[in-house]
Amino acid sequence: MWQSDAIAQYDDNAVFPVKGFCINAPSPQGLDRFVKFIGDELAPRGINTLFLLGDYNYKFESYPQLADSNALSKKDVKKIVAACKKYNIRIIPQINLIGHQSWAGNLGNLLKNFPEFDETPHVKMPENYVWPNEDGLYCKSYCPLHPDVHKVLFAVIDEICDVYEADAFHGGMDEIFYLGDDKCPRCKGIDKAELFANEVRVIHDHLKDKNRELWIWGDRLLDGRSTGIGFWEASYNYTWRAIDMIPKDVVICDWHYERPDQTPVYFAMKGFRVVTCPWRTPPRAVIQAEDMARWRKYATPEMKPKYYGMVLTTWMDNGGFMDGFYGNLSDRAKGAVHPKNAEYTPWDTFKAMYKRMGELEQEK
Amino acid sequence: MKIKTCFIILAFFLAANSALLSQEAGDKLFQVRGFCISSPKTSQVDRFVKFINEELATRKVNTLVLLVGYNYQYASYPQLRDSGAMSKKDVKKIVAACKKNNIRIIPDINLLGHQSSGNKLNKLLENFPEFDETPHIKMPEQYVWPNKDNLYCKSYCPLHPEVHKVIFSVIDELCDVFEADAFHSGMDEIFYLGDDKCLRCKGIDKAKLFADEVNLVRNHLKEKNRELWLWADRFLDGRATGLGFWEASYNYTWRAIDMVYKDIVMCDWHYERPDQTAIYFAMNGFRVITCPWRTPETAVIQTEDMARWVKYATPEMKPRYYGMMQTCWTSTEGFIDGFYGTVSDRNKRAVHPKNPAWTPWDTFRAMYTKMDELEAAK
Repeated sequence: MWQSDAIAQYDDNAVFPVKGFCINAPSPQGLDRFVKFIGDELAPRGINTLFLLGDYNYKFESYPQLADSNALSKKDVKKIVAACKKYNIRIIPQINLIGHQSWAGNLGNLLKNFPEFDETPHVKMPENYVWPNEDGLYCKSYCPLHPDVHKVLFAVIDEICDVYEADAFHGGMDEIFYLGDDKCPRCKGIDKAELFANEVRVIHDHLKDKNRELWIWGDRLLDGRSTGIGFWEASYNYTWRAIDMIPKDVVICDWHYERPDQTPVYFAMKGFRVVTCPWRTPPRAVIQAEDMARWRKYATPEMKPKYYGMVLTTWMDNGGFMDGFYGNLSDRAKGAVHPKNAEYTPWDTFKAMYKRMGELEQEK
Repeated sequence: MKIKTCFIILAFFLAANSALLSQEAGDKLFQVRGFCISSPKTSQVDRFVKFINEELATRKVNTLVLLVGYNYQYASYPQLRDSGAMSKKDVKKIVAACKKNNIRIIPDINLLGHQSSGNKLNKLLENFPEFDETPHIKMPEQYVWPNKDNLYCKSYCPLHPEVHKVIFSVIDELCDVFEADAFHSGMDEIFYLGDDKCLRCKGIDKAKLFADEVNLVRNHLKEKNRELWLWADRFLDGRATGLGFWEASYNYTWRAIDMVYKDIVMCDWHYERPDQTAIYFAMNGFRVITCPWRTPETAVIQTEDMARWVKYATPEMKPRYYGMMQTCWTSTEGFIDGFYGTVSDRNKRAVHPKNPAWTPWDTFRAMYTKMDELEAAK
């Protein structure tokens, strides 16, 4: 029953049920421009799903100390909500769970305020962050077995879902390198797949109580060594067996940027709905969209609903994306341009992918 | 510093490893250009040899899975010989033709399942009734499907203490006479497994029963430097994927995919849809071959899929997309008749009920034409 309820939000006869866009939530100063962008650019392309990467970019009431200094107010958020309602766009707010609790040399707000949640307190934040480094520090993680961590997380998850009026939440959970650390008194020695799966289940079950879905990035569920996909977009730390340990109604966001990997088939065959998430390589995103359409075309009735659609990701500042989109290669847009090709950008990919999706919808 | 060194060693290992694999894969889109057919009766051997020379060789078929079963005059267990079975001399004619044309022969004996056909037991259970997994199910006089016993084919009991002595003898003998470095064990469409009335098997996890038998046979072959190939359907969850209970499993065997050696070769057969299941096998670490039958349009799409998977794969994944294999599921002479334009009683059942132009021989032509186009366009 859960499945038909969930799927009913999208048209399973469509070429692409999910037509998604994933971007950082705007700053309060960039809010009106983003709201305009929703109407001008997302709505005409038929986008029906918006991942908003917010983390602590909201003035939380439950834990005010967690809010970014320049965070969105409730009134700000409601402007986005109103725009999305008008155009039938489902907002899925995101807070990074487990991993991504620091960025470069800076701790995130959760660990800054609750240092006791740190999975690796013995790893000190460097003054000058460089990658690679001898600690293997990409981002900090929280300890999923800390007895107090879920009280805080559930409060902010509930609050962000409430304010965005969301029936789904994105838990991030990508690129987790610190997990089950040998020095963590709670986690050491525990099967990392089980640690990861347990955290997915805990979050999933909490959301489920309020009829909300969990969406996550797919990389920890792929074996990076055996597939050659590597340790970013797949896992080198034994988490991949969690694919057989998590509820099947978690939606998998499978991101690959340089090759049109066929990994969504693997997720679909394991019983998950899966969306393919390109970034900044237009020719690849076009192939990925064609793949998704073809998988759906030839699938059994059981498999077809698993091939859920496409979500373009941006991985940059909200205003920077719009700068680039409208032809202004500002300082905040530049960093997102592919080092190998000036025409490989998230905004070019966005345009190319949605153009191709439109063609495929016409051809049907 | 330690970690950095580890990274360097790891990077070196990965580079070395992928170089090795790509060497194995070569430059070809289709490493395996396969053909799978019943072995000929002794009276048809010369005609089949001619077909090898004239039709397989010209299409650069490099792999011949030959469904032999008990169609050979076994010396170890003469009572297992089918009537009209091939002699050693017959086999050597086929071996010589294949050697000449660089075709690798992979002989097949059905293991576990397919121990009966229609209302007839095969030679193994006829001679060793004690190996029957379901002795309480009597062979019907008139076989019809479906039936209340859910009898598609009989199985042998993989836990019978004597069964492997017999099976390993005939496997070794067959591989020896065909000078084969790989053996195909069938193992498709096994419906009777871990039967509740079998004293040895009842209550055992069916995935484990299946995996143990696969691994046992694999290990036996490995000792003689031989590979195991098999049909892949028991490794797919037929309910969850909607693939059904023929080309996928309804009897809980699919979890065996995590329990068997990664060096076995999966022959993934789907006839009506271009299912993407080969990706699943490749991602699980196996070499996989897509096996069409009698639907030319679907086979062409499956061929294009295989080429595309190879094209965009990582160096690690690329060698696992192993190629294509045409299957026939008709007698040797029936296929050759059809190929040369004669549809008769002995091959008409291979024609698709929906379309007279959908036959194994038309599919064979269409698929190999497409394979050559794709190789040329590469």
